[in-house]
Amino acid sequence: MIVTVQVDGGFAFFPKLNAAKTVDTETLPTEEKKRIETLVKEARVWDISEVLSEPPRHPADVQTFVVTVRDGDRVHQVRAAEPVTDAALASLLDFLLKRSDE
Amino acid sequence: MMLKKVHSLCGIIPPYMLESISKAELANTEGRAAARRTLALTTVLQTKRRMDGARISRVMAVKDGSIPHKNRRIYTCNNSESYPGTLVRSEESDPNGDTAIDECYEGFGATFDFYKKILGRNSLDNTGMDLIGSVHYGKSYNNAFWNGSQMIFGDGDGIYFSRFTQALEVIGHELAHGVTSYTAGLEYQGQSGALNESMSDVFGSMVKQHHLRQKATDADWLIGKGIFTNQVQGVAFRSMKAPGTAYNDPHLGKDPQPAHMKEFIHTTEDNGGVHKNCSIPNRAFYLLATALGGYSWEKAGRIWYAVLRQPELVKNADFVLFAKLTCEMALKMYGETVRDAALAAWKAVGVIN
Ligand SMILES: [Zn+2]
Repeated sequence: MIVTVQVDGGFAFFPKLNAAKTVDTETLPTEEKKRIETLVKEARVWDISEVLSEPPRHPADVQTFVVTVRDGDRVHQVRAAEPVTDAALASLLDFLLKRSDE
Repeated sequence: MMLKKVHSLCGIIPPYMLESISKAELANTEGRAAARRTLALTTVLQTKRRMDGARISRVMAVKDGSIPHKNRRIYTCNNSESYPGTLVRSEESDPNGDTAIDECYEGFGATFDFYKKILGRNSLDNTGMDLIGSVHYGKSYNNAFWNGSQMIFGDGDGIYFSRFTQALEVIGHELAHGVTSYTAGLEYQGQSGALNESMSDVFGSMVKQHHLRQKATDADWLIGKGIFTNQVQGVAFRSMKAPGTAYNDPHLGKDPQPAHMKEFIHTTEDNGGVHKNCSIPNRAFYLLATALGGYSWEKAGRIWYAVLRQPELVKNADFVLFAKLTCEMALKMYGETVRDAALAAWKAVGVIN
């Protein structure tokens, strides 16, 4: 499974921080692969709406988190504006963003 | 006399109508704000019917849009992602001792004072709206935003970013989003979105210059100065004076902002590049303000503000329309010399040929 995470928007645009970060779980050590797959499953990424939450009315500088999952021919994308209230999705985002930071 | 005016308004427009005006889609206008305030006032009137005359007069005075109403409320999210959070400082209270809380309070004050003293504007909606800010949002949160009714500020991760309240122009920027939403309501997408962002940089920068009593030629014209930690190779998030030069860092990348229309960035990210292309109108403002000399708010700022309130500045305005309106306004307000300076600024950034 290939998982991509991107932080879109925010007070300023930073090319590297705002770039999409992709990980192919097949290339990861077993433990990390399992961790991501579990988080994706718990967050029901394949099943939830493409736009989980939209920014409030007339907002500005709000960040939107975009998660894309690919498995063979299957592709699904979820967009969630902050604050992400879905705890499972928040955990997945937290893990992926921290991981890409290292 | 003020009391009489309000009574007659409440008598003419029934509350349900005020409510529907208040909720209407054309909503982000000062008219809607006034309707909403009036609706609130109607409720105040109904519930306070038995109050004595003196007290009623005071309530009227506070809610009447013409009377300056500075009312700041600062909350802490205690590093959660729920806001507004816990109220920690309100108007005229003593400093809290927490730096972010006090910076937010003081920054809101400096912003309110700028709009009131220089532009005659009574808070964001021009009818004395409370200024609400939440600090300590999230954990290691690298952002600040306007959610449509209040400001939210993060502490930064401490590695690359420190707290977002420490740059006065960032506070002024967020509050200016409120002003834009209550005036032109520029759509947050593409060129109108970049104009929306630019308005926030322009007014945020003027708030800082006014606070420091800085002339246009003495100002740094930087947005987000001091928020980067010393780990970052850069001075700020954006430079209005020299777009594209604010930072160049291995972790963040290079400042992508264009200084000219020929470098305009076409993208679907960031609502069509609103935080990238805002540098073009930003630079036009900088060029005009410095060409005119003196303080940026004396002429350039007043022209921008007058255009922001003009009905001709439609929600989906592009750079060319905005440039034309500012040139026309410059002529109307200050004559040909200033109009020519405005024209030269827009030509320099390639918006007008
Ligand atoms: Zn903004």
